Amino acid sequence: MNQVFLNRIQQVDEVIKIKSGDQIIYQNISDQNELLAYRNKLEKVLTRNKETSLKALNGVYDSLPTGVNLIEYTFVNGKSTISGRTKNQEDIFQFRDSLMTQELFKNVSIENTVKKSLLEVEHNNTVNEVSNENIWEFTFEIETTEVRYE
Amino acid sequence: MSRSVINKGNQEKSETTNNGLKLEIEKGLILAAFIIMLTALFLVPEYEMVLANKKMIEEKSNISIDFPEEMTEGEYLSEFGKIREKIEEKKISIPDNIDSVGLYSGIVQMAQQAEIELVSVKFNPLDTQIDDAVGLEMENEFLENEDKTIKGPDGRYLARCSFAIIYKGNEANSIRFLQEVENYQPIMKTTDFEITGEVLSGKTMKLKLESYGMIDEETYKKVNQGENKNNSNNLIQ
Repeated sequence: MNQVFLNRIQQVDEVIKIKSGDQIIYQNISDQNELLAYRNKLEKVLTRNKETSLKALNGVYDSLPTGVNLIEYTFVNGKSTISGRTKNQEDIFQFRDSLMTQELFKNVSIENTVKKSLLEVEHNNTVNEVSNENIWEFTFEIETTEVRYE
Repeated sequence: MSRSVINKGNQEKSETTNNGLKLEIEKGLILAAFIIMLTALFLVPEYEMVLANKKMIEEKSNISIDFPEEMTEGEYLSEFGKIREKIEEKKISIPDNIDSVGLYSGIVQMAQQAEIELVSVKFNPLDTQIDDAVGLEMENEFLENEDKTIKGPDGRYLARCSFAIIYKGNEANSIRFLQEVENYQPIMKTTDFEITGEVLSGKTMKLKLESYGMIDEETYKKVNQGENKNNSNNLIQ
């Protein structure tokens, strides 16, 4: 009985030997496919959220009321900070509400608002307009919905 | 007297019968022991060998099934060529090296197209230590990797080149520049940026960007021995 098995093993070995020549070829293709899959994955991972910074900036400009001047804008690790100035305090709330309607922004918080007289602002050489009105400066912090790498 | 002789004769006969029985039992035991030994020495190993061979046939049959069908040289070259072509396409976004001069040239070109004034471009040394978030996406055991490197199946390491750009321009052109950067190949990823200045026509932008490449073992060693640290470009326009 054992001899029957041994004969069978010999037959299978011969089949493997014949096929093993093709296996080298297939191994090459398999290795290349593995490399391609790896490169695809790497590109996907490295470009994830790549467009967030630009989308965030566009979102801010789209939401900016006409009476608001942007003084400073930073985008760090998926968090934007905006500093602006307006003559009308209502613009600050309007700006905030408008930002919240953007799908990309999940949270917009007001860091501070400061009322300044025009003279004070002119002294800092930042506003050229002449007016008797007061100026409101504000800072927002905005979190984006897309997760960024740290 | 004669009675005791008879008893003695019976006793001797009984002893002879007992001895015969004992002998038979002993013979039986020896035969049984012989059979057991024969079984242990020949039949059990033979049976085990049959089982082992049966298992081996199954395994070899599986190996045989796993082998692909025969492929012609033409089919192989076509299949191989298609995959290589796709890999080469991927190397446009993540090349096999990081060419800071090429990146700088690309930045200058994009600045011209977007009509912004480039103030400075500063390149940092190559870095092969990858952030956990990226590493974990690529390898499950990344946190156990003390070097924090990512090594591909071709033995090349992922390297990052970070650089900072300062430029001036109006809002529209600045956004155009950012769009150009976003679409640029090899990958340029904006990690941080800052806009300062109130005058619409003259805002200053500071961008921090990253580009990537798959470097070979030799470059990897140079980068991590500090040999490449001095090669960082500090280009100012």
